[in-house]
Amino acid sequence: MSSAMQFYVSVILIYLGIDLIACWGLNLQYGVAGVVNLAFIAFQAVGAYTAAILSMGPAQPQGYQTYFIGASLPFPVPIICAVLVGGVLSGLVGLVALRRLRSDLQAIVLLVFSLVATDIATNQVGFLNGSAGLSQIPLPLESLLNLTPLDYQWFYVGFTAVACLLAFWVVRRLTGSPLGRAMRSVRDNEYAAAALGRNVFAMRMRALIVGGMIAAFSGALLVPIVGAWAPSSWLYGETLVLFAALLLGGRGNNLGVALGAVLVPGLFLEGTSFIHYTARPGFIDAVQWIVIGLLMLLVLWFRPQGLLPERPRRVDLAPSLLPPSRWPWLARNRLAERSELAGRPE
Amino acid sequence: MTAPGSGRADSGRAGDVLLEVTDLRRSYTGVHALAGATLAVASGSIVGLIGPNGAGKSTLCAVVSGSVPPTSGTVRLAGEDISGMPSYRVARRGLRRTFQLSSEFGRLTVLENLLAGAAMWRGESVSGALLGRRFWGRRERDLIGRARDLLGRFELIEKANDYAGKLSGGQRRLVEIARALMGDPKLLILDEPLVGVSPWLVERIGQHIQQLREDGVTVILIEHELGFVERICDSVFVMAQGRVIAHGTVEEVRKLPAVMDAYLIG
Repeated sequence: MSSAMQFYVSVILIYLGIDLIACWGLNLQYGVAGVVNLAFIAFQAVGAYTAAILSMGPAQPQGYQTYFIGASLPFPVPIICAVLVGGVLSGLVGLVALRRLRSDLQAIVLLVFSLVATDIATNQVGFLNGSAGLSQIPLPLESLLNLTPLDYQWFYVGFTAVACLLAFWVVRRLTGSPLGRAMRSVRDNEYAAAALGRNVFAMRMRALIVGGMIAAFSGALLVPIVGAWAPSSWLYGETLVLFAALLLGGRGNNLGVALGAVLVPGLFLEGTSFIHYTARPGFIDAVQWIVIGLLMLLVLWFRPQGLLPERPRRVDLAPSLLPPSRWPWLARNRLAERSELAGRPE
Repeated sequence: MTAPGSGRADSGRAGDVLLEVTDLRRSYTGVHALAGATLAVASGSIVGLIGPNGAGKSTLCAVVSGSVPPTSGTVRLAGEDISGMPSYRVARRGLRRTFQLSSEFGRLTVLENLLAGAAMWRGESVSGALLGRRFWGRRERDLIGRARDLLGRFELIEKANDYAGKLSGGQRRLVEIARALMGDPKLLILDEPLVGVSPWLVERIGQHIQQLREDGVTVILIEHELGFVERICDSVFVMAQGRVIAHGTVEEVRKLPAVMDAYLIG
C-alpha cells in the first residue's frame, strides 16, 4: 500500500472508531433510555474544545487565536477532563431539558441548546476563538513517541481501537444490567415505570450524563487528529447523521448501532469526503445531506426496527439454573392448565 | 347524600385503615373531576370503586397514586401523608396501580416486565451496573426465581421470553398485575382490569384478585362490570360527580336512591 493510501485508510479507521463511540453514546440515550438528544454533537464539541484548550498551552498575547484557560496538561489528563466536563454539562442541561417536560419537548429544548451553544462559540471570540475556531492542536504523546507521521497515524488507529473497546465495555455493562432494563422500561412507558417506583427524571438524567461523557470522550479523541475545531465542525445537522446511523443499524442494539456507524458516518460520509470530484465544489457535501435525509425516511418506512433490531433478552427459566424458590407460597397455584392458556386465543 | 367512609370500611374485617382519602379535590381548568372525595379502605380488604362514566374514579386513582397532584385534600397511606407526592415515591411506599389502558413495556420480555416491577435496587445504579454481574447477579437470580413463581401462578410461564407487546390484551393485563406484585405492594389499585379480556380470563383474573387477599395485599378495584365486583369485593364505594356518594355491599348500595339517580342521570 502506498503511504498516501495508508494515510487515507488510517484516517478512515480513526474516524470510524470515533463514530462508533459516539453512536454507542447516543444509543444509550436514545435507543435505550428514549432521550431524543438532538444536542448530542454539542457534547462531542464540548469534549473536543476541553481537550484542545487543555493541551494547547496558554494563548499567545499576539497570537492569531484567543481562548480561555489554555494549559498544556500531559496525556491523558485533557481527555479525562473532557469526559468530566461533558458529564457535568450534560447534567446541567438535563436539569433544564428533562425536568417537567414531555419527551418531544425535551428534544426541542436540547435542539435549542445545540443552536445556542453554536452561537455562543461563534460570537464570543475570546472564549474559543469564535468562528475561526482553534487550530494547531497538538497530537497526544507525539513528542514522546517520536514517530514518523504515518507511523503515528497507525499508533492512533490502535489507540482509537482501545478507546472503542473501553466505550463498548461501558455501554455493554450498562445496557445489559438491571439499570439498562430500567432505562428501557422508562423508554417504553414512563408512566408505568413511575408507577413501579422508578424516578423517570433520574433515570433519563443518568442516560444523558453517561451518554454525554461518552460523546465528550469521542470529541477529545477526534480533535487532535483533525488538528482544528470550529463551530462549523459541529453544526446540529451532524447529530442527525448519528441518528441516521442508529435508525439504520437498529437502535437499542449495540451491535446494530455499530453496523450503522460503519455504514452511515463511517463509510458513507467520511469515505466519500476524500473522493476527488471535479464538478462544483461543495457538490458532494450537498448530495450527502439529501441522501442522509432520504435514508432516514426509507428506513422509517420500510424497516423501522433497523438492520439488526433490538432482540429480546431471553432467560432460561429451567428450574435447575435457578436457586430454589424463596417464595414457594407464590407457586402454589401453578396450574396444570398452562397449556390450555397457551392454546386459547383471546 | 350519605357521609361515606367515616372511619373504617365496614367490610367486617378487623384491619387498620390503610388508605384514607379526605376531601380530595382536583379540577382541570374549571372542571371538578374530584369535588371532595372521602373514603377509607381497611387493610386486607378488597373494595370496589364504581360509578358512572365521568364520576372521577380514574382521577381518584391518579391522584391517590401520585400521577396527578390534588388541588386540595389529603391522602394518607398507612398513616403517612402522601398527598402530592410524585408517583415513584408513592410506589416505593407500597402503593401500586395498573392502568386503564394496558401499559406493558412492549419491547421488554414478559419476564423483564416483571423484573422491572421489583423495588428499585443497587443493580440499577450506574456504579452497580458497571461493577457487573458479580455485583448484582445474585439478587437478579432471586428476582428471576420470584418472577418465575408469579408467571407460573398467572399461567404466563411459556410467554416469559416473548416481547410483552406481542401478547393478547388479556395476557397483558395479567402481566401488569404480576408486575405490580413484584414490588410487594401493600395496596394495589386495579383500574378496569377487565377491559378487552375474554370471559374465560375474567374468571381467572377474579380468582387471582381474591388470592391477593390471602397474600395480605389490599385491593381497590375500579370496574364497571357490577356482577364481577359483587363476586369479588367485600364492599364498594360509589362515586358520582367527583364525590363518594355511598359505601356498602353491592346489594346495599343498589337500593339507595342516590346511587340509582347517579347511574340514571350520570
